[in-house]
Amino acid sequence: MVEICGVKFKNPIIVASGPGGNGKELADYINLNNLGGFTAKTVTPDEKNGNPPPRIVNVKSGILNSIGLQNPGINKFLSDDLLFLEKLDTNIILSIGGDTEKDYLKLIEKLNNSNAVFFELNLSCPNVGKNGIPIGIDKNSIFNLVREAKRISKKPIFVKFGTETFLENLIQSAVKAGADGVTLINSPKGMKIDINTKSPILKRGIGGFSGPAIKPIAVATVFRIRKRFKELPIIGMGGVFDYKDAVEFIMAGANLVGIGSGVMANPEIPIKIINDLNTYFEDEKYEDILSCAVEGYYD
Amino acid sequence: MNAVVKDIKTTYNYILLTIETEKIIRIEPGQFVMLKPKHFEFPKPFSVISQEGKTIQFLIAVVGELTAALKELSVNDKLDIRGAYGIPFIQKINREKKYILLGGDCGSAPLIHFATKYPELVKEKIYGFTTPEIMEILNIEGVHIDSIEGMNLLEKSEKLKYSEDTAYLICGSLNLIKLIKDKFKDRILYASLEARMGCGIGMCKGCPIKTNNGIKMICKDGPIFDLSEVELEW
Repeated sequence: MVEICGVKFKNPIIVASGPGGNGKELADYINLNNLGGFTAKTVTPDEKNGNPPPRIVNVKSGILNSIGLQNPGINKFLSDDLLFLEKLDTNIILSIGGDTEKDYLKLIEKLNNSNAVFFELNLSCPNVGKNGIPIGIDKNSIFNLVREAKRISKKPIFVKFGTETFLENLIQSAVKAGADGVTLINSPKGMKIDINTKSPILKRGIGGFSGPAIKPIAVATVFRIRKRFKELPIIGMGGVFDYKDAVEFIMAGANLVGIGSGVMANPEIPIKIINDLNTYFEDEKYEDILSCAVEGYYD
Repeated sequence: MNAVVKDIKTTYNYILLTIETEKIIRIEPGQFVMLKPKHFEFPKPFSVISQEGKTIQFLIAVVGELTAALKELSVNDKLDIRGAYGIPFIQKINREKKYILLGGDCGSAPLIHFATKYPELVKEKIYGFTTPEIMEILNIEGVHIDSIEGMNLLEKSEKLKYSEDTAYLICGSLNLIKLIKDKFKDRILYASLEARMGCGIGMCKGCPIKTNNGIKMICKDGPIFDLSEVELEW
């Protein structure tokens, strides 16, 4: 049992936003009720067709994706996907995305009365603000967005970041504006070029890079943010494929651990990790799952 | 699920791989499985040539790192497999028709599977390969070698007798499918589309195709589509 922001999670493993879709397909392979939580795929105000294919390329120890936030838009999400998610006996986190601050606020208003436990602001999509600065890399835009989101939201707000430069400063802005937690990390950007055709394989060229190859980057990011923000709830993710990966994230300071591309590689991975993690903590005799965080290390 | 290599035959560019799975995976022609060597994290989709009990056979072109690793496998090596996924050909095609099977390179695999299971629905079969190399490991009726016949798959298909009760079942590169769609505009064409896939079960949205009914996923809503319903350009 893990409790963050007053919400109890039956275990610290959640499905990250994106690879698990909105749960319907995954429910054919695993019992979603056994998860600590499930993060829905980022929803935007209007339907998005997503990027042209190819959207996926396998690379060494990882995968590149260029899905482009394909989603049905908020109205269809409310009438279809949310109804399915709300029936689950697990904590639902709603990931929201948009081009402007107004988009995010509109989504919060529409989703405020759902039984989801948190909102997760996805600031890593190409959110171009009015000054042409992506929201997620500008501390003033982050501050304004989070402050307004907190003003109207009935749920805790998590902000999802990537590996931006001066990340501590960006997170400081989010925290100052009232953010309840952060999700780390969104996929860094990556590219694979076909040397025969002399062109990138993804139609859009650059995509999000995920999988075991990014785990050290993600663990380091969680670690350094935990070092700076000792009490801030952190959902850590990036290349989690087995329970040992999850333990690393917890030791680095994550309160919850997200499984992203691992679900794509094998839909049964989250349940295996939950089971193996239970065994691990029995063997290690940890009474509280957070007790293995290297608390004293930060002093 | 674990699988073990029972037999492997290779040429420079191709692999004929026979594996045995822990449990029976029922694979209808047109469906695919996600397969990877143990030391890879992410699997890739492969159609099969045949499945009987726990034995599954694949015809694979060596095109990238994962298939290169498959080529290096030996008997008794282990693999990970999951599936079967996708809609079987038989659930989408018009069963009143007789089919001309047009396979481009290893895209022939699911068509070979189909021809074995549903011979009564097959009118002609052409499994097209550029060079005779494939004949070192694949010796079945219908193999067409461009360099031997002096014409390619497309040219050969034009010479076949067509009648109203005929339809086409095609699998190969997107380029081949586009060419066939252009050539036989007014005919009934079903194609099994190849795609780079992520999850294989429709949740990651990694393998989209534009259709008359919006964006569909090749892994879940296909891989077979009636070509009159899809846009191959995006």
